[in-house]
Amino acid sequence: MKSRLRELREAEQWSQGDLAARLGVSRQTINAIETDRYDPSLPLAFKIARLFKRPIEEIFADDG
Amino acid sequence: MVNYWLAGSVAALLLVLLIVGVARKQWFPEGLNLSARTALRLNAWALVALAVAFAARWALRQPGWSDPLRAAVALAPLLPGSFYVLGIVRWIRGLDELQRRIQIGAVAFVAAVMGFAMMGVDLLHGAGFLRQFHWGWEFAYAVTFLLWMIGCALSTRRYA
Repeated sequence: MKSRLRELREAEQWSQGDLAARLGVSRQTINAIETDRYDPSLPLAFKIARLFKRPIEEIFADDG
Repeated sequence: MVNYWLAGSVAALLLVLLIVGVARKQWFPEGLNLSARTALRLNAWALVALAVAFAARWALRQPGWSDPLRAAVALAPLLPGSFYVLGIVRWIRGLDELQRRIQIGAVAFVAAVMGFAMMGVDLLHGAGFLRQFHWGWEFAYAVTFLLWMIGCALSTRRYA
């Protein structure tokens, strides 16, 4: 799955650690999502969508 | 004798891995960045189990125990050991989803390799090899810990 998380995070001028703290996950999790190595669970994807006030499909896209 | 050599080799390998692991932090999951207090709280029951195991071994050398009592004393370390496992399970449940996945990957790696290793040793025993070798708990614990570290590193690399 492709994600626009890095782009959205950088627009807010947050570090990976800042975003991790806001979402209650580890920095490694944010890095893995940003590099498309890990697909977040639905609850985490919803949390990310709520934080950036965007629909999920605007942040994550199926690359299949 | 074989056991001591093997346990010593595993301990030396563990030490090397620890040193390399500290030097190359990205090999290990962030969930393992524990404070000294958390690390102590997590491992306290393991230390109790270790102390009970040594005490039981010493106690069982003394004569005059009935068989049921000998069995109970021999198995006594399993009680604090089970509290240790419960603590580890609780710690894994408290991790975030990626860290949990890394730990589950590491635990699956340990289970698979230990299963194959035990089967391999048993097959070799059956064929007449490694007669002097038996799985002591010290050796099994050291190997489990070593495999868990390798499992953590392998599982972490997938997401690094």
